[in-house]
This record gives sequence, structure tokens and C-alpha cells, in this order.
Amino acid sequence: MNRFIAIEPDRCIGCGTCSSACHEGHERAGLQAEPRIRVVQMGEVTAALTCHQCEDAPCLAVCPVGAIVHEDTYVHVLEQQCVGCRMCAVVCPFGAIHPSGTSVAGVAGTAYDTPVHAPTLSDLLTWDPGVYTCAVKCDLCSYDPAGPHCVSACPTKALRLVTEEAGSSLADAKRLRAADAEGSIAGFIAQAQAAEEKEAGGEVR
Amino acid sequence: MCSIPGMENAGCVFLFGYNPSASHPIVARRIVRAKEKGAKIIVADPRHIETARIADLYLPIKNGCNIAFLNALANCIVNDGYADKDFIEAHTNGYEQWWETIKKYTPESVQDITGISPADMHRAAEMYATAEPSAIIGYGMGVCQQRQNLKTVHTLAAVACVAGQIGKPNSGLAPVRGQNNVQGSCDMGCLPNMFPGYQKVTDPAMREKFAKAWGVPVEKLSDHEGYKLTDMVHLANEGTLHCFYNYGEDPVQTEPDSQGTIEALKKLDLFICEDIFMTQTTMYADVILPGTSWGEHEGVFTASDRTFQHFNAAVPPKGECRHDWQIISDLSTRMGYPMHYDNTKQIWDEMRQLCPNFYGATYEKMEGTGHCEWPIPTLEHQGTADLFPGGHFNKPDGRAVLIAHDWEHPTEMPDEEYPLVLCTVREVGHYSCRSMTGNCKALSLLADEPGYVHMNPADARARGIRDGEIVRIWSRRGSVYSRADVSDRINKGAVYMTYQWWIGRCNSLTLHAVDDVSHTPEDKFSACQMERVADQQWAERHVAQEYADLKARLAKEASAQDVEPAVAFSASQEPDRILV
Amino acid sequence: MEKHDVVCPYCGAGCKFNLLVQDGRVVGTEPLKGVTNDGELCLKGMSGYDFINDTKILTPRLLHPMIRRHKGDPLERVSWDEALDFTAKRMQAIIDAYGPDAIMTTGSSRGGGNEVNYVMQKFTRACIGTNSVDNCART
Repeated sequence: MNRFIAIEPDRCIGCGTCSSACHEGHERAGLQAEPRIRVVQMGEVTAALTCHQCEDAPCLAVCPVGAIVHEDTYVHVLEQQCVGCRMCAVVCPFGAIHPSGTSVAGVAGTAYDTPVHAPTLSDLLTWDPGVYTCAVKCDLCSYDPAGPHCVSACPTKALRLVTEEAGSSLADAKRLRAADAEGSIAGFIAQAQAAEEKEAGGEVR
Repeated sequence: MCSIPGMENAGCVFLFGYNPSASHPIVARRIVRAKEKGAKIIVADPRHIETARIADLYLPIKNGCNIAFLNALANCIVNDGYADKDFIEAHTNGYEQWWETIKKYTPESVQDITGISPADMHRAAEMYATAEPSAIIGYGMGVCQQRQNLKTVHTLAAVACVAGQIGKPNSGLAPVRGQNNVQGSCDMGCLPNMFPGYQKVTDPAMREKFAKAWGVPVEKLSDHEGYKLTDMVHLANEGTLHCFYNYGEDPVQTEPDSQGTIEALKKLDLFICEDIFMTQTTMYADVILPGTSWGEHEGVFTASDRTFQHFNAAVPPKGECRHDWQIISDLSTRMGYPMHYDNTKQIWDEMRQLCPNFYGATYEKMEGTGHCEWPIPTLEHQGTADLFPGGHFNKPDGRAVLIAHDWEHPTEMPDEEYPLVLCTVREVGHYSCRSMTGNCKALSLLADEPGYVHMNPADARARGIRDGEIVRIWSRRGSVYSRADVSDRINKGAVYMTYQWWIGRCNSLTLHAVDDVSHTPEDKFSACQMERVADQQWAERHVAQEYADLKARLAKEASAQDVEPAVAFSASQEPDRILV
Repeated sequence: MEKHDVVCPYCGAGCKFNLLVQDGRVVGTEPLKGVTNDGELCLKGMSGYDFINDTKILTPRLLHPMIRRHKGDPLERVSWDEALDFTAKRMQAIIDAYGPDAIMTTGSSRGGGNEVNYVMQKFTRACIGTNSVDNCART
């Protein structure tokens, strides 16, 4: 099973700390600095959205140059191999992979961006002179053994990394809860939940 | 008056004019935790803010209704039988007179002003007043930056007293400060009416004490209150103020009516700026004194909940930058009043000796993650998390005075020409005038000029505005361009702009009307109008150009510092020499 | 890598964290178990450090004292001695002509710290002789 990042919307306060942590981590690792997790706020919903690491990933299927590969437990973009064709962004059902490029701002004496297109223009249609376009999406910070930076940075613990083990204990807990019509096995449930949270790296509440 | 960590242990958190998710995510986290621990959350805000999503009761109040709303809430608390009679009896004065005003404010009578149904008002009164073990009212700039701001704080305090939700752990009012050390600069006496430690400048005994400690004759210390910062503009205009020494503030960006501020600064005989960045204010200065940045010096900050904490220097000062206390001491010495300190600890210890409430807050106690929450009167004292323990207030008889006020409408009401309410708010990723966060790569990436104007879909539709387009917003003071952010979380008839943006600068539009006592400007309410810019491509180019021009102007002004004095001198001696 | 503990300069919550320093540059942050933040940081605390390195993304740091010899002149870099003597002389002239209440000063509610605010109000009261010192609490 692929690992992926899950979110509890009731805990998300829309602060964007996840995006900031994502940016910093990837920039430091020499990868595209664009954040791969985005906060969506509308009506009653606020949630950070990122790649679901699909088992049968459409982005991987359409990539014409084999720049998107299935690693052990996640789907990975090889930035050096990407040709910036944007096909992956078109087919992603979650809008979780998008084209980006590192602007020349901050290097070669250019202190800031000089945009040549409207920010309202879809990023599928934009192009900046001198900027190489590359697909970016969540790689679960696979370059860092400490795990995804957004998960550890989230101040309200709204994000968690779901692994095979944590996923199955979560399912176990849900089955137990469903079976517990009389509340007779509440103790088991609490135990299962505690185990699940511990594995997920969250704190035990 | 409770501590920030204490918030999560209250039975009810009532947020009034305060959006913690945008202003203070780390406080918002305490509220999420409080909810998970079973607290009831009440949110009264014109916008459907983040915390409203997890609220047990969300009250979409109308802009500018604060006192009418709180009076009706107080009316319900009393009429529905939730008043804490024992607390009122034992710890307050003036109840009868207070009730004379409050009794008129039934929820029905002010529904047109507040927009809240009587049923919801009764529910809010019950939820707040009956909360166990305590309830906290968290308030922010939604209370302070209004015409009747001080009066609203009186009203809030009276609500807490009447409901008996004050004077016990994790209760009372929790005003949360915007800037990191607003509490600290007030604590230190950067107030025209107070010496450090909130000791009145008009009190002869205090003048005596400070004159003696500072080694000056008592007549040298002025016996009357000084002018307030928000008076600077009109004092400069009328010729009363000749010199303004601005340390670490950017009034052009952060004060209302930017153009008026610039005109006033130009009228001064001498305008001194001590800052770390070339800002839109600094560029008008006659003298620029470069101080050290946070990260280059040590000191103590006071958090909003009165907590002193010490911070260290991480890197050495850049260029010729000097510590701010060294610059000021040196200047004072040159002006005939010698001041000398070897380090910040000496300053801190001098201050502690003069402020009984801060005396026990030593550098030693603040080492590492140590902290001192004042009042902390002795060296053995551990600090005070909750003010007014046991309902004992700062009055000679220890009793709180209940004060009621009648609601007055905001200064500039919307009309046909300017039908929208303009309210200024905060951006989560940026801070104050943005000179610090705007120079941080990660933060500048997350959102940038010309900022956003948040509006309801109906107001956008009526003007043909689509999400993300550039719009022009104008008021009686000025006109700016900003980007539309259309969201159903915004109430109809109002638009919200964050005051961090330089091109989409809301303070070019805001009204310079101030509360008569506190002189805090009414940033939360002025009238405006907006329209879609027909040629969007032109608009995008225009705002990008304006932004680039402004940054280039700042860089050009600052570039004078790249020419060494000796080089400039020799250049002036040798007219044919070409400077590169 | 060096670590130096600081208090966040961005809001009244008072979060504690370490600034990570390499080769004299601040390169990152690391949350501490401070009384209010309890090991957590928001994005400003976490990512709001590189302005110290003078990135010039928005506007440059001020590194040298500068003055305008006359109103409207261009800025000119001068030595500290000259800048402070110039300021002292001009301020004294204003006090002599119009009295101490013709001068207003501010503390800073931002990165400076309480000690500077104390020194500023002491300078305003004991040296200039006015109570016109304020801070941005009103805005």
C-alpha cells in the first residue's frame, strides 16, 4: 500500500504552516521550492490538500518520458527527467500535481519577480522566460528520514502520515466501534486508538 | 485576564472581534484544544472566520454594532436569570446605574443593528454565563479599532463581572495583542501618560521617584501628559510638533490616511528614523540611524498575557549597525544628559528597581525557556497567571465598577456614493508593515502584491467582478488597486483588506477618526466603493510596474549608504572624477 | 551549527524557538518548549528568519548612518559621530526655540525589546523633558 498524508479538517485552522514547511524542506534539498500542499478554504470547509499517492496513478500513466515513477510506497517525480509537458496536471483528479519552475528572482542580481502574465491565468497556460517548467507534487519528503515536514510542522496536528500499519489499525478501530453497539468493549477501542495514534506519530490524547 | 495556555482549560471560549487563525495560529491551536477538551466555542464576527467552523454558536454580527450587541447580551444574562448575584454583590459597584442603561437593550430592540436573532442572543447568554468552570472572552482589534473602543472594553468587563466569569482561574478577558511587544512597550512606559510599570506621570510622588533615580531635578520631568502618536499628523500640520523621532515604526504604511501622514512628515523641521530597513516612512527621514535587527541583539519581550521572556542574539550586527539602546544613550550623552550601559541586563535591572510589579522578573529566571508573568513583585514570586484573583480588582475598595454606555453608530456610515463598509484585517503569513516578512523568501512566496480585497459573491456579482481579478477600490481619501478574493465567508455589504500590502494599501482609504479617549483610529469601519477594472491586462501590468517602481525607489534611497563618506568627499573635490 | 534561543518577533503569543546559525547566517529554526507555544510554531515563526540576512527581496537593510544636510537634499552617508552630533544639535535647537513638547518620540512594539523601550522613554523624559513618547498600541 502507498503511504499518504491525511487531514482532519476540524483541526485545520488554515494557517498555511504546512505549505511553508514544504517549501523550505524542498528548497533546502535542492528540489523545486514550490509548495506541494495547499490550503483550500470555502464555506464550511478548510483543508490542506495534497497528492493522494494513487495506486494506479493517472499522472504516472500519462507521463511520456517516464519522469513519474512508483517508488516503494509512493509516487515520485524525477525533476531532472520532466520535460514540463503538463499532461500529469491535466489528468490528476485532485489538482495535486502542477507545473512550476524556479524563477530567476534572487539570483544573478535580480532581486524580485517581474511577472509577464496575470496571476489569475491557469498555471497550465503560463510560461515565464528563462524559467524551466517542471511538475511538482508531494513526495512525502522522501529525501528526509524524519518524514514529511508538513506533518511535523502542523501546529494543530491536523495532518498525519498514513502508513499500511496505521491504516489497518485505523480500520480495526472503526470496525470495533461499529461492533460496539452496547459500549461493552470501549476499553479495546481506546487501546486501539492509542496504538493507532502512536504509530501515526501524533500525540496520544 | 488569563494566560494563553490557560485558554484551553476554560469551559467556554467566546471570541469577539478576534480572528486567531489569521492573527495568532498558536493561540488558535489552544482554542482547537479547548474544543477537544469539551469547551463550548462562541464566535461573534461579521466574517465566517476559521474558528466559526468549530463554534457551537456562530453569531454573524453586523459591522460596527459592538456595544449594541454586548448590551443586549448583558440584558439577556440578567433577564434570563444568569446574573451572578453573589459576585455582583461582593465585588462590584454601580450595578443599579449600569442596569438603567442595559435594561433598554432587549435583543429585539437592537436586532436591526446587530443582525442577531433574539433566540441566538439568549442562547449565547446561557452558553457564556453558565459555562463551568469558567468562560473567557477573547477579543482583538475588532474591539480596539472602532470608534467606541474603550467603551466597548468597559462593556465587556461589565459582562464578565455580571456573569461572574472573572476573578477565577482561566476566566475574564483575554485581549490578544497584534504586535509581539505592544504589551512590552506599554509596560516600559512608552506611553504619554505613564512611567514604566504603569505609574502616572501626573502623580507628584512618581515624578519625585523617577527624578531621583534618573538624577535630574524634578522640574525636568514634565508634569503633564504628552501627545499621542495618532496626534502626530495634526500636530505637525498645525506647527506644534517640530521634531519626530521614529524608532522602529512605519506610520506611512500602518497609520490611517497614508497620504495625510506623508504630507505631515514633510512639514517637520527634523524627522529622525531609527530602523533596520528602508521603508516607505524611512525614505522621508532627515536622519537615518541604523539599529540592529532582532537576531542581532538580546532583550526581553512581553507576550500579550503579560509574560516576560528573554531572547538572545544569534548573529553579529551587520555593517555599522549599533544596538538601539547604544544609539539612544550616545545621543542623550551628546545632548547633555549622560547615559551609559554596558549591556541590556544593566538596563533591565535599573527598570526592575523602579517598577514594583516587575521587580521579581530577573534575567536568571528567564534563562532558556524560563518566563515571568507579571505582577511578579518579589524575587521569590513565581508570577501571576490570572489577574484579579478572588474577584479583587485594582480599585481602592477592591471592587470593579460596572460601566454601561449607549451605542453610537460608526463615524462614516455607508451611503449611495460609498455603499460598502471597509474593514482592515490581517494576513496570516505577513506581519505589520511587511518589511520583515516581505524580505523572507518562504513567506513572500505564499502571497504577494497587490494583496487581496475579500468580498461576498453577491457584491462581486453586482459589479461583474470575478475571483482573482484586479479591482479598483476608492474612498473619500484615495484610490487603490487590489485583487478580488470572492468568498461566501464574507458578509454582504462589507469588504476586507489586509494592511500589509504596499500597492493594495488599505490605509490610503481608511478614515483618520479616533476614539476620543484612547485616540485609537477607527480602522475597522469606513465607507468605500469598488469596481472591476475593465482592462485586466493593463491592470496587471500597472500593479506590477507600481510595485517595481516603489521597490526601486526604496533601493535607490538606500543606495546612498554604499558611498563611503571619504569617497563622497574626494569626489566633491575632484569634479572630473566619475563615480560608478 | 550554532543554536541561539529567541522569542518570536511576529505576534503577541510569545513563542520560543532556536535560530540555527551556520557561517554567520541564520539558516533555520527549531521550536522550543516555551510556555505558550509548547513545541509548536506557525509559519511566521518557522520561516520568518531570513530577513536578518538582508535578502533585499522587498527592501534593503540600513547599514550606515545617513543624513540630509538640508530639507530636500539627497541622503548622504556619514560617520556615527557626525550623524549623532548633527541630530543632537538640531534637536537642541528645536527645544531651545519651541520647548520640549515640540518633540515626539516612539518606542517600538516590534523587534527591539523592552530594554530599548525603557531607554527611549528615559531619554524622552529625562533628557528632552517631555512625556510625548508613545508606541503603536493604538494602531
